[in-house]
Amino acid sequence: MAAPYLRLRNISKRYGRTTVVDGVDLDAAPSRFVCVLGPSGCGKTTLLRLIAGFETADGGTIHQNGRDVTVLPPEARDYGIVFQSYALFPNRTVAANIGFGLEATGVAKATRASRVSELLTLVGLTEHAAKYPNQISGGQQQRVALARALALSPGLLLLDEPLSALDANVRAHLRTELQSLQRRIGVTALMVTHDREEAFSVADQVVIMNEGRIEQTGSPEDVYQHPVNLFVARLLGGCNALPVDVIGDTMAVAQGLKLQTAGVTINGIARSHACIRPGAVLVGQEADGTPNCFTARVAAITFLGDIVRLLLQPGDSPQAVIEAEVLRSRLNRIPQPGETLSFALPPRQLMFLGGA
Amino acid sequence: MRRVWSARLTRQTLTPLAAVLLALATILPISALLVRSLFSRDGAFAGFDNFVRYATEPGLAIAAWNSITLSGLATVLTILIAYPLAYGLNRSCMPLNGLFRAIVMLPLLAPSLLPAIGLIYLFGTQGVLKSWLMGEELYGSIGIIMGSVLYALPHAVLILSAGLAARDARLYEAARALRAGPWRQFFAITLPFSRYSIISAASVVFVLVFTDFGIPTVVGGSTNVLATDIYKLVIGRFDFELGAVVGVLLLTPAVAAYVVDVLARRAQRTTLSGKSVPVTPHPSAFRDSALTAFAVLVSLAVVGVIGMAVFGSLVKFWPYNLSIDFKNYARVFGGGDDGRSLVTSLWLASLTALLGSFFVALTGWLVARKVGAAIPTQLVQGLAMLPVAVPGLVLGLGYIFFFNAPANPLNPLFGTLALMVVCTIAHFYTVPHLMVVGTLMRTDPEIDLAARALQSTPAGTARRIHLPMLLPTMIDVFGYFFVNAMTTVSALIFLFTANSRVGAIAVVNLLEGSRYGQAAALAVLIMLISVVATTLQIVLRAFILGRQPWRRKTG
Repeated sequence: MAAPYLRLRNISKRYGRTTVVDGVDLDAAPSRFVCVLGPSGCGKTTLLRLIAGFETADGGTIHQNGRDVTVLPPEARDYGIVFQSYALFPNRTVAANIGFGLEATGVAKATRASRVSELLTLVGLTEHAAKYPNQISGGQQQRVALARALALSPGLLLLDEPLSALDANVRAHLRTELQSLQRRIGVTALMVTHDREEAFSVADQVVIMNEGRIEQTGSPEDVYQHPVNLFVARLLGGCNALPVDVIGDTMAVAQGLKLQTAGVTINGIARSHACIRPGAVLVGQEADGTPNCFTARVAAITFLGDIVRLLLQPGDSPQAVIEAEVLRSRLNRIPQPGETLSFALPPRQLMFLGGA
Repeated sequence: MRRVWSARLTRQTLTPLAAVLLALATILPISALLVRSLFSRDGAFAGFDNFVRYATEPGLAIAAWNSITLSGLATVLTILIAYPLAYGLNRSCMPLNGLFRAIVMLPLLAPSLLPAIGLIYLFGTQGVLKSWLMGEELYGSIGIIMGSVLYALPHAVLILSAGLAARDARLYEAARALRAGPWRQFFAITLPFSRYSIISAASVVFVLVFTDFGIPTVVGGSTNVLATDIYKLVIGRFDFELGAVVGVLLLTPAVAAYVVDVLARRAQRTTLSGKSVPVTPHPSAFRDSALTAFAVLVSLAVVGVIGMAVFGSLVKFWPYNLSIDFKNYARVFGGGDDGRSLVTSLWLASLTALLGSFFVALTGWLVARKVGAAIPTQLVQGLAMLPVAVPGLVLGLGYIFFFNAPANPLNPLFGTLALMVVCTIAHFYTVPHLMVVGTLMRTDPEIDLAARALQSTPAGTARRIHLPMLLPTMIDVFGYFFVNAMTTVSALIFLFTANSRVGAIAVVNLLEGSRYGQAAALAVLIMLISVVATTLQIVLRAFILGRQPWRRKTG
């Protein structure tokens, strides 16, 4: 792997007695798209502001492209930023917003104009160049903010929840656009978000943060398939977590259910819960005859369109509740509450995790 | 790298510098006055001896009592008149709404002396309506109260209007759905919700009246109040120590009223949510005609008193020869003065407006956009908020103690127009500072971060982004400084010299010499200049807004 373009070592930030960022190490390879994902208040925005130089770290170092930028003011760093609110200049046209950085750094007028029109083409806003921010749509404003951030050809693009103010359709569309644009320019990008779908769809590398610390780093598939603990598993999707009573190499007992496992390595980490994604639970005929098959009473049904969510109470374990999500097309008919069904927890889909 | 250093310099030095300048113009002179009240003439620490001397000297303490009772009474009367008026202007379908508004605001554009002069022509010894007082004398309590109510009315109407205009229509819809009639709605919703603006208006009016110098000087007769006593003690008896004591007595209730006002405004803000729907009044024959009749009555009183002053300025020889001529106006520009006081006023007002606008834009920007570090920024904000709680007389006297002290290197400023400009800027600082802060706070703070990330210096961001946003407000700020500097008397009465006497003070001097016609003429001229300035302000503001297409939704 190439030397990281952005390298954080042991970065910490405190406000009074609360530690908001706590000893964070992070490497972003050149031209990669890194997503910092975490719940609100986990310190991800503070981390971004530290990289942007809006805050100064209390400890640790930040290197960008080999240069120590830890204590530099924002003006002396090399990045473009897109805010959640876009923070467009309301008194400037779309073109003048994009050209602001060029103007502030004293780029000659002719050079400025050609660079602005290049960026307008890049984000597809040429025909809106003369409009003011309050005269264009939210999605268009977001593109202006992006073009403005790229105007000075920065080495690093920072994105602070850039899509969360948009409605769902526009968001999905812009997500793809953002990713392909980043690929095309080859700029290293770091995006902060609380939306896992957003992180998964654009990122090469996902960084999961909780309470100021990094819990896990990896590719989207990797962190989803192999979460290191319960927090990560739950953050990345629905998750049944059954407290484990007994655990061995090939079998476990969780809330009274005897489970075959695909082999668990016990390397000193407390594996307190048996976990499985609701979509991995097999139901009805598909479950019959497979390992870890039990019968359960259907406690509740939620119809979600193509997917049906079932709340199951296993007969063997009255206190356990299993959530299963099944494609409607895979069911002969939709079961009714109170009915008895068989379900199975495939051993290869079981994760044994510890933590909160 | 040059940009990085310039940005760093701005962030680190500008806010502390502004704090130092503000301190020189506000807290240091006020402290000088507080200190002086505790020292004897020979400079020895005297504890509260001066206060004891004030309380025991016959005839002095009565002024404090007069000030409190008269201001209290004038405040109650002002609110009783202003509330129905503001209600009519904002909550009824009254015809000629704009005209009534303009008339009620008229006293803002004239020195407080002008209504007092009008009262003399109406109810004075030779007044046309003297019989209305039923044998009572205008000079004294009656004159002070009548003049004060007229002078304070526009301030009260403005504050109450703001409270009445910003209400939630959904509350009234809910009340109607619950079958509440109009009176029930008024007592259950309107009145309780305007209680904070009533408290706020009352505290502002009380301080205005309590600390006004012009009205009691002209129509106070032998009724002493603190505002006239401080002048007599300092200028008549050169008793600076007792002057300082009266200054403290003027300052204390003013500060208390200010605290009440701040608390009331804070409470007011929480009663209105962001989702409120504005109230649109529906016509109601009885309510609308009753409120219109009331507005006509009040407008007649305002126009009558001010019109009488204008009439008096045009009359040949009151009350014996009522033919009209411009002799009094000719006298303003002839004789010993040659209109110099008016020219000085224009200089004072223009310089105050220019420099004041500049500094207010600077401190408002430093505070609203948090350019510097937190502590100096809070200091600037605190110092900028201070003057609103300090009566002009107290500030002016503080300026004597501070700038006239032999040890002060700024001593040569004393007696110059420059110091009068500084004092006037300081005196009226708070309102325009808050106007700038309010305007600049309305935009997202992330805009500044975005500009920083694009390598713009604070000065560059201010010029390219903040200034265009601020421009219409700056016109209002300029107008506010200009009109107030034209009409103010209180802070300058201690600072002027023969060469730097402004028009409003010349009016006081003319009245002291019983030259009513000429005084009226000069006061009317001041009012006319203010009217022209305000008209220009309105036109210019509209022009600038027209040139800023980005404020419109479609373009």
